[in-house]
Amino acid sequence: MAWMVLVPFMLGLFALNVRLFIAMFASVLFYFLFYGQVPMQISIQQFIGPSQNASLLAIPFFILLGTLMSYTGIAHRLLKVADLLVGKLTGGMGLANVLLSTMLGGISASNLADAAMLTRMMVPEMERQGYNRAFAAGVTAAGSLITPIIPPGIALIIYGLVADVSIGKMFMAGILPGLLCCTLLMLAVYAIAKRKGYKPARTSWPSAAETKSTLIGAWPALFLMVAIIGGIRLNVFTPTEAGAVAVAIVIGIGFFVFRGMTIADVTRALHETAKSTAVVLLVIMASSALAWIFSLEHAGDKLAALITGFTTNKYLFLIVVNVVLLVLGMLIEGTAIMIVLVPLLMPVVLKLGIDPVHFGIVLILNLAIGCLTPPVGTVMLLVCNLSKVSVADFVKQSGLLFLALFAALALITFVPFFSTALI
Amino acid sequence: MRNLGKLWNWAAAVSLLVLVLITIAAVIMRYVFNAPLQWTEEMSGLLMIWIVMFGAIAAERENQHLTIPLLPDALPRRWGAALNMITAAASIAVLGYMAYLAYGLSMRAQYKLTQILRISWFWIDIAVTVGCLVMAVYTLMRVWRHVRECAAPEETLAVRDATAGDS
Repeated sequence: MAWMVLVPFMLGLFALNVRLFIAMFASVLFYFLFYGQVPMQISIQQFIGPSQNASLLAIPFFILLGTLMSYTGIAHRLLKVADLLVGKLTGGMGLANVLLSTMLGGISASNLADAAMLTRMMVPEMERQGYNRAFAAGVTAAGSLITPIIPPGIALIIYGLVADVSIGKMFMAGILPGLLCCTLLMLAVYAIAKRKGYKPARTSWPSAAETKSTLIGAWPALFLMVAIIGGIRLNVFTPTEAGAVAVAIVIGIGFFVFRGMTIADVTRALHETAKSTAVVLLVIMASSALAWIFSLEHAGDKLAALITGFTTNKYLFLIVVNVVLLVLGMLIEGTAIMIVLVPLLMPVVLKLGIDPVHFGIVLILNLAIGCLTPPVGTVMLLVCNLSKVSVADFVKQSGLLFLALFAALALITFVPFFSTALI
Repeated sequence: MRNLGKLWNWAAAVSLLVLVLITIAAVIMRYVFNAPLQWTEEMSGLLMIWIVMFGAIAAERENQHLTIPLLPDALPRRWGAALNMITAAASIAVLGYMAYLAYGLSMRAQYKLTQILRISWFWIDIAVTVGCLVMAVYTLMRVWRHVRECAAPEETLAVRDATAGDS
C-alpha cells in the first residue's frame, strides 16, 4: 500500500510550491528509496518513454497553430461572422463574443491564449456599447472555456494520451458538448441582456452582399476548421499530421492571403510554443513514471475495489468525481489534476461501465470550469487582470454564466449521448 | 550570460521548426508521392526530447513551470521567500539525481540503436542529463534571488512592489 503514502507526499510537495514535475518525480524517487525492489534507472526510463510517442507531437503542433493564428488577425474576421449571425439580437455583442470563442475553439487549442486575446479585443468593445465591464469580462472568460472541449483542444489530446483513448475519438466527442456549452451560455447572456436592456450590436439583419463579403473575408478560418475536423474524421490524417498540416496552412494564409504575418511572428510563436510544450510535457513525463508505480502496485484496481465497495452506481460515482474535481480545480491547475488522476481512476471507470471517452469530456469540462473559479482560476485571474476588473465584481456579474456552465456539466455528465454520438 | 540564456530557447525553437518540417514532409511524401518516409518517427522522437529539455531550461529561466503558489503567496513576504528558497534548494537535489540517473541509463543504452536510422539511444537519454543539469544551475540562481529577497529590508521590498504594480 506504499502508493497511499506516495500520494499525500506528492500533494504536500505541491502545496509547498515545488515545481509540479519535480514534486512528481521526487515522489517516484521516494517510492524507490523506501519500497522499490527494482533498479532506480527504470524511473528515468519511464520518464523518457512518453516523449517517444508519436501522438504526443500533436501537442506542440496545435499549440503552435493557436499561437500563429492569433497573429493572423483571423479573430477579427470571425467576429464579423459572429456579428452577422447574432448581432441583431438583444445583447448581440455578448452573444457574438460567445460564438466567437466557439469558432476560435475550432482552430485554437488552449484557452489561456484565447482568453487573453479575446479580453483585449472584446471587453473594450462591449464596454463601449454600454455593457458592464465586469460582465463583459465574465462573458469572455466563460466563453473561452469552450475552447478546450472543441477540437483540437490540448486537453483532449492529453486525456487521449494518459487514458489510452484514441485522440481522433476525443476530438469528435468534444464537438457536441462544446456546442451545448455555447448554446447555454448564449441563453444566459441573452437573459441578462434582456433584463439589463443591453442593445443589439446592429440595427438590421445583414444584407446578402454583406454576408458574402464577410464570409469571403473569413473563409481561410472556416476552411481550416473543416480541414482539421474533417481530415481526422475521414481518417485522411492522424491528429498529429493534421496539426502539422494546419500549421503549414495557417502560415500560408498569414503570409499570402492576409499578408499580415512576418518572419518575426513565426520565430516568436516557435519560441513560445517550445516553452509551453516543455512545461506540459515534463508533467506528462513525470506522471508516466508515477503511473508506472501505480500499475506496479495495482493502485487503480485497489481504488476500484474500494470505490465499488461503496457504490456500483456509475452516476453516483460521476457526481462524486465532479464535486471533488470542482473543489480540486479551485486549488490546483487542471492539466496536472487530469494527468495525475486519470491513470488512477481509469480502472474504476472501466469497471463501472462508463465510456472512457464520455468520462474524459466530463473531466475536461469540469476542470475548465475550475479555471473560472477563485482562488486559482487561471483564466479568471488573467481576464480580470487584463481588463482591470476585481475578482469580486467578476464573480458577482458572472452568476448566471456559472449556472449555465454547471447546467452544461450536469447534462454532459448524465447524458452520455452528447459525448458519444459522433464517434 | 543573457545570450547564453536566449540560446536555450533558440535551440528549442529551431528543433521545433525542424520537427514541423519533417512531419509535413512525411505527410506529403505519403499522400502525394506515395513513398512514405520511414525515418521520420525516430527523428521526431529524438527531436521531441531535446525540444522538451531545451524548452524546459528556457521555461525555468523565465520561471514559467507549473506550480501551485498558494502557500508562499499567503505567507508574509519574507516567509514566502524563505519557503521558496528551501524548496528550490531541495529541487536542485532532485534535478541532480535525475541527471545522474539519465546519465547511467544513457551509458547502458549506448549500444542500443534505433531500428532505421541506427542512432544510439545515448543521444535520446543524455538530453535529460543536459536538461536537468542546466535547470539545476538556473534553480541555484533562483535560490540566490530568494536569499536576497529574504535578507532585503522591508522598505525596499515595498518600493519594488509598487513599481512592479505599475508595469
